[in-house]
Amino acid sequence: MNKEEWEKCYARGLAFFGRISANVSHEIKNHLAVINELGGLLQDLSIMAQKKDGLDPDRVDRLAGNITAQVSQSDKIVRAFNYFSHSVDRTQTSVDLDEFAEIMVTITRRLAAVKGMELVYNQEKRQHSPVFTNPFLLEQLYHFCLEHIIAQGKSGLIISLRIAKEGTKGKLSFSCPEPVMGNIPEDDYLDLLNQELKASIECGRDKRELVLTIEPLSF
Amino acid sequence: MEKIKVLVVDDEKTFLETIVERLESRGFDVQGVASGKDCLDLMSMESFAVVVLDLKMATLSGLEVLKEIKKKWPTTQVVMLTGHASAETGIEGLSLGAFDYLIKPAQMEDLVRKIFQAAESRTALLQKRENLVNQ
Repeated sequence: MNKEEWEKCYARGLAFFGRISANVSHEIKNHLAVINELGGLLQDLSIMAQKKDGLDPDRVDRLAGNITAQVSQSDKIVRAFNYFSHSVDRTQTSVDLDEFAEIMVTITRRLAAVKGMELVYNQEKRQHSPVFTNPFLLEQLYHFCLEHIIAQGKSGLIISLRIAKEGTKGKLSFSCPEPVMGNIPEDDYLDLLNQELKASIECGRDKRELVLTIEPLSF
Repeated sequence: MEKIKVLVVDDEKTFLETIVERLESRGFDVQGVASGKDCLDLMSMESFAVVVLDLKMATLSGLEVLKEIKKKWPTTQVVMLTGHASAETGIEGLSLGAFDYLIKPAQMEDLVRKIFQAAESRTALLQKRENLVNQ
């Protein structure tokens, strides 16, 4: 990579990191808002119980369960975000595509949700699928694909992600029940990412699938 | 005294149900809907003094809903809820005619105070309009 390419990579990478961070912090804030209301409702019930009837144990149990579920979802997002944050630590490492897909869907699900779409990691059989690559650049390629689909799709669309290994190559396939994909518009930075990761993005199955293929980097 | 009619709009189901119940227990006449479209549909059939509106919702955003509300029902007051850490979107909402905004997670006492203030403001607006008509 020359100096100009490196500067572009730095600027676009930072913008991408900021977008994901803002998205994740919004999602955590939403969970905190729900926990705040559920906790407040428990306090309301407690105050009412002191004034008249006792507490309904089933009701309290349901509310406590709801709080636990919100905490569990927040924890999942924070763990995924931690993985994402550490992806800049090494420029070349072994990435398990199965773990990568689950993490990326967790931290980007909301990007689809705010447009009324659903993003799911739809792997029938989970398997360890390592590829030697640059994780941060791969995350950006994933994001390019996802943003493109979201921009083309409509509310109600379900976007499924699958992974596959073909020899040493790794594949991330986004698919939709409707023909919304099309080719990703030309972008210098996308070309640079493809070049750095020995990657390609192809639209298939009558515009119902977008496949990101990466080859392993050499040491 | 007549109960203040409040409509809460938020696409997070658990949040919506909980906040509706908590406001009801504080004496408000509350209804909740999970989308901007449902909000506008309900408002075309029923009148509300105050709308508590989440800014970040799927399909129709809170700001778009706010614009429609102020266009069709200018005296209805809107208190916005925003998840943004900065005041930027809240201020944008104010410029579009919202009464005020709160940053999530908000304290119930703050929300209740804002609803009362917004309802008072609406009463004053309606009174002013009636005086103008009588003149």
